[in-house]
Amino acid sequence: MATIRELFHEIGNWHNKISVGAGVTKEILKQKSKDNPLPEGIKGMLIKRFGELERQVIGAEKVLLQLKDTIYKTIDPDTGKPRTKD
Amino acid sequence: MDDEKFVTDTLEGFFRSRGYHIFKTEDGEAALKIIENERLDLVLLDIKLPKVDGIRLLTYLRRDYPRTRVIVMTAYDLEYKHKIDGIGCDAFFLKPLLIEELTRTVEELLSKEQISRESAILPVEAKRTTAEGSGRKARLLIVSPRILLSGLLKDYFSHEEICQGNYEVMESGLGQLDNIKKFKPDIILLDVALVGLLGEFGTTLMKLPQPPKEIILFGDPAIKWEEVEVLIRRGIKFIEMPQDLRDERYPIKETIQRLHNALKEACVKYGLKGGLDG
Repeated sequence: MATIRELFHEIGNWHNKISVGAGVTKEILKQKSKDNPLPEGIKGMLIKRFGELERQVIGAEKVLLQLKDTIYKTIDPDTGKPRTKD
Repeated sequence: MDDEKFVTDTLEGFFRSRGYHIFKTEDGEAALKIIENERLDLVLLDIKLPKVDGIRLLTYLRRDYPRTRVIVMTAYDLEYKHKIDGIGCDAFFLKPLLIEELTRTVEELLSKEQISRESAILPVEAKRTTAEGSGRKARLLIVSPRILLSGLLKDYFSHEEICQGNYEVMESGLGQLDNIKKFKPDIILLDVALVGLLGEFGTTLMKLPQPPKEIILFGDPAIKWEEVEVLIRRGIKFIEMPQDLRDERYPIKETIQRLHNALKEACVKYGLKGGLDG
C-alpha cells in the first residue's frame, strides 16, 4: 500500500500535469494563432481560461501543502503511525 | 528528466516547437546515458526518478559537467531543498510548474551561457573539424518558400564572376530531404518566411548524417517573431532582407552583399573556399 508521503507526491504530480498541460496549451495557442488567426474574442478567452486553470491548480497545491504540513506533524508519512512525543 | 511521461512528452513537444533539440527520459539510468553521450546545454531535472534519483544525477552533473545548466523541478516541496542547495543548481522550481516562468528561465540561462550556434542547435557529431572542409568549394543550400528570391540567390552565388565567391549551390524546399542529404550542405541560408517550420527543420537537420556547419537566417525583420528571436538569441546569425524586394529600406543589392559577407565569415571560420577574396 502506498505511504502517505507517496500519496501526497502523487497528488502533486497530478497538479503538475494539469499545470504543464494548461500552460503549454496556452503558449502553443499564442504561438500558432499567429499563423492561423483565431477570432480575437475566442483567442483571448482561451488564453485567459488556460491561464486561470494554471493559477487555480497552484492554489490547490498550496492548500495541499498546508494539509501535508499539518498531517506530517502528527503522523509519520512513511510509516503511517502517529508520531511519539519525545 | 521526469518520472511522468505526460510531463516529458508535453515539455518535449513544447520546447522542440521553440527550436530546441530535446532528449527526454523517465528514468535515472537512461538519464545517465544521455548525459554521458550527448553534450547537453541544459537539463530539466526531476528529483524523484526511478533507478538513479535526481540528487545523484545533480551531484554527477555538477562534478563532471559543470558547464551544463541544471534546472531542478520537484514536487517534493522543501524536503530536499537543503540537499539541492548544498550541491548547487542554476534554478529551482517547485511543481506545479508555470510554463511561462520555466520558459523564461531556460532562455535566460541559455543566453547567459552564450552558447555557440553549433552547440545549441546541433548535436556533438555536427561539429566537424575545420580542416575537413579546406580547399574545396563551400556547399551552399538555399531554403526559401519565395521562388523568385531563392532563384535570384542561387543565380548570384552560383556565378563566380558575379559574386566573387566560390560556391556549389542548391536551392530546396523542406520536403526534399533526400536531396539535401546527398548534397551535404556546409552552409544553409534559411528564410524566416518559413516561420513555424524552422524548429522542426532544425531538428531534421540534426538527424542528417553530416549536418551543416552553419545556418544563416535571412528575411524581413517585420516577421522576425518569437521562433526566430529564440534562434537569434542562441547565436544564429540573422540577415535583414525585405519581404517585398522593391522595398527601398533594404536595397536588394546591399542585402545580398550582407548575405555574402556572412557566408565569407563562415567560410573563413570553417576553412572553406567560398569567399575568394577572403
